[in-house]
Amino acid sequence: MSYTIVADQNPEDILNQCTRHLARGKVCFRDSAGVPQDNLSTVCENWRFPLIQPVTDSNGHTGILNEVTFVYFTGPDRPAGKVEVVGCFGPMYQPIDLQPVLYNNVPTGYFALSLLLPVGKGYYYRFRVDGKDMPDPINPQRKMLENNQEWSFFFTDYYNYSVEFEEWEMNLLSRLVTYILPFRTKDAQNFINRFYLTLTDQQRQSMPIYKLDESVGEVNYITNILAREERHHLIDYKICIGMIDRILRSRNPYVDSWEVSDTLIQQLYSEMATGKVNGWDYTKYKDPVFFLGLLRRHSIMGAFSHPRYGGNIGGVGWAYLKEQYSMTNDLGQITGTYFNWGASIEQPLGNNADYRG
Amino acid sequence: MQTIEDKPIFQKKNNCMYDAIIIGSGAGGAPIAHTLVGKGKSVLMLEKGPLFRPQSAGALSSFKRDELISDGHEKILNLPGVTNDGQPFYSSHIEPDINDEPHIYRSDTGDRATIEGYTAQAVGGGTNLYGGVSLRFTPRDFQLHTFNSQRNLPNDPNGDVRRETKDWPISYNDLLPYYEKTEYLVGLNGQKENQLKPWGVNNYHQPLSPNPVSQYAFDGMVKLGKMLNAGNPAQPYRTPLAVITAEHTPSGRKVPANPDTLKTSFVNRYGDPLGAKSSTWVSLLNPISTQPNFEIRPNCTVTHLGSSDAKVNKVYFLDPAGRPAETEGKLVIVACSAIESVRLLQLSALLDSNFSLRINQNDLLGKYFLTHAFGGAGGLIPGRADKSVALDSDWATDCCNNDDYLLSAGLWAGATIYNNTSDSALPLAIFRTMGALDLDNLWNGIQYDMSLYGDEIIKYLDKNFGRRISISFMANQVPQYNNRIELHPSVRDKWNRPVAYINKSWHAHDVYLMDHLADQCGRILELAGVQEVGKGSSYQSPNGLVRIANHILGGARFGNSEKDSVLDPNCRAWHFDNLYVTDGSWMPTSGSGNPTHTIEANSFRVADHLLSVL
Repeated sequence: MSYTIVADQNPEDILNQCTRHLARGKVCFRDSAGVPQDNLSTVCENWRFPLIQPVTDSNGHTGILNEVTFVYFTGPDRPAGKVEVVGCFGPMYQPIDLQPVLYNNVPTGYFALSLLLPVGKGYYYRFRVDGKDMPDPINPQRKMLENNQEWSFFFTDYYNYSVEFEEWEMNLLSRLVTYILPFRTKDAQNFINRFYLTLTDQQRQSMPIYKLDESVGEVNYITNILAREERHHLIDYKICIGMIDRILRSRNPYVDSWEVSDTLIQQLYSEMATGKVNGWDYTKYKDPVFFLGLLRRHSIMGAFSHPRYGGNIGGVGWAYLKEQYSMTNDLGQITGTYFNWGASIEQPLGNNADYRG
Repeated sequence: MQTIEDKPIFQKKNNCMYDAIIIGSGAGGAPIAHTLVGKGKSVLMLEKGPLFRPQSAGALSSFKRDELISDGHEKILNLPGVTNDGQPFYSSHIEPDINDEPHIYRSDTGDRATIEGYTAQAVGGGTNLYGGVSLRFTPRDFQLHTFNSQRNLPNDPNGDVRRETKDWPISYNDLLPYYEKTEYLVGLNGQKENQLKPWGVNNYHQPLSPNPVSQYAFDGMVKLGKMLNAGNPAQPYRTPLAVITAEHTPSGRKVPANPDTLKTSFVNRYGDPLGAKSSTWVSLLNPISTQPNFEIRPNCTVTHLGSSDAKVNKVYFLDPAGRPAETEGKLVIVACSAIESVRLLQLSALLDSNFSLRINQNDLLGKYFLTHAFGGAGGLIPGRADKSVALDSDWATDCCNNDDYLLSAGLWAGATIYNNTSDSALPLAIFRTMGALDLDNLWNGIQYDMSLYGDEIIKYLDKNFGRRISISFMANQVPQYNNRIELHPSVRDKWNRPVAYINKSWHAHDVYLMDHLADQCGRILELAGVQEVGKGSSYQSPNGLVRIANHILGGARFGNSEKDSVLDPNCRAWHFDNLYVTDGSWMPTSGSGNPTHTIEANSFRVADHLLSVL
């Protein structure tokens, strides 16, 4: 892996992205808690850290690189001497210095480092503060690695793996989501297959594709937001996917749960919709309706949100709407569309000449 | 109560006192900064939120055409003691996190934490997120007490309207040159013809072509105008919008070679990465940002004001790291949006007995809090249109905003009616607004309508995609003493300061007015051959007092007498020599249109006064 350090880090930009989340009252940030975990709950939207933002490449296009900014905040009264980050993005895990962020020529207690990293990747890292290693006290994504050390983790845009879910969970999730979304008809599937075939190389470069024959990437989206934006629902999925797997296996013990018949999936959906699921362990999760609602919302969001979140690969969900709601003449020929989504979206994903993403 | 005792680190530029310190960079503060800096006065502007710029040659903007940046991912309220503790909420990336700085609304079922939509914390404030509808108020909006002084109104048996409504201490004609100035400097497109307001100079940019869906709004408005007044029907006009459509000389902004490409439907509730939407940053502050006598400090939270006799002599704030700091100015202008401005004054009064004595010279601070009486009707057009190619509104009408109509309909005040062009235009919006009555219950419809899956989703889209149209009214709310902003007795913000506590209810005449105007909106659809699918007003939303209250006004109204107002006609706090409040909190009545334009115009007016005292 490789990285580029962003030179001339702009303190104003760093503070613009950090202050709302990290500047807290004395009673709130670090003063009230001795251990880093406790601090997490007092940071507004802690999943935003490290800060991950699109940047343009030499062609002026987004979708290739992210600017990733690591931030360590000591609090205003206790500036640290030296803060470094070590991670799998650097050769041999060499430490890289975070720079103190000045405000009005005075250190703020914020330390920051911005790196340019490729999209679609996940990275482990730790901070080294005055020689002492620790996971990022803000970022909630952490993993215990084989060496029994806890490392922080982040992923860049268009990420299409998951460190939170195993393959069988992803397969089952994909089956359920496919049932909810409108892409399981033959016509829709034909469209999706055609769409992927028409992507240019330039478009493909920025859009890692995962199981294109089966989905529009909404499972990627769901696992991504469960790691970050809606991490509070990760536990819902872990419990319910496990329970659904067990129920489907009990109803057809001869195939994997994600390969049961449509009839069984339909039966399960109907039962969940009423809240009465035969075999559901209500002591573990009391409301299957709530989970189904969650899954429904996330499926829709994954299918039609910006592809940088992991779903709607290449804009396939938008393109589906574009074709579904096309204008035709008396001969049935397509003359336009009622959803010209590309006109407002940045290149190379869309074709707006002014907006750069 | 938190006190701040640490030694301040903030150093004044050249060790001099600023001519003016402006707290807040939105519609109330930016026109004053623009004016004073232009006249060589030294100005420090303190803004709680970040400074997000439009894209430039070297950098992308933090404002994106990305539906998840606004009301996308779910957040959870973690605030024990309020009724919606543990409930989800949705907000934009520049609206405050409700866990950090909630506004608490009292209701019959208990206290509820929320934040009014469009309360953005960023340089430019709410003008980053607004749809840009920039209507002038009518001359009658300034004189509603006089207009109603002899009237007996429906649903007002106690004469509350006559008793509680105050005329403004200024007239439409006083504000007229400042409306014109705002239209020129901020950058608006629109059409003056058919607006029922006196007009002088026309500074509008040419409107872009309307979205085809708006033809139905136009047709219905024309017909309703004839129905209401066949002899002299009010005609529709292009809704004035704060979006430039040509090069804007005062701010140096340019538009794309084809300005029509600005129509993206990423307008209402989105910051503009191209800077064509006229936020106060791109229009008023950026042009002065390199002036040596102007200093803007984003990410700085003003905690309270200090005073000595009739002077506000200290502005205490927290720098971006959360360190206490203080500064001084000859004049102090508070413009943090109505609720937060009132709260700042109340917090200052808690900490400073002299301040309390002077700001509370009567008991009106926080009283007569207002929003708009708001509502409308929605429908499905017979055909389909590409609604993703739109700004926020195309057509407006004053057919329910003239004296004859109000007298015949028994309404105390008028309303502007306009169509919303970009509503439900984008794929996620069409799902998340399904059945939602306000911003706090977005997504609920699609989440829990279990019948919508697979092919049924296609049928839902077939029915709705590119077919939705809505007609809204924006009307004055009856002022009530008990509609008020206070400090909450127990809930604190992230700095451990008491948060705002809001009591608000609708007057019976408000309900009468909203029902009446919602019917007229429905009639516009009916006359245009549009199938109506819903009609209603904010009072009918279960949460209608709260999240939908997106125009927050009043609480520190201005007037001619210190006995019945908080501010004098120049928006100066009566018993202070140098304290001014210029966001919408000075409004005694909320006007018959979106308020931003009037707040900006008034701030330009106050700025001229400030020049005379500096």
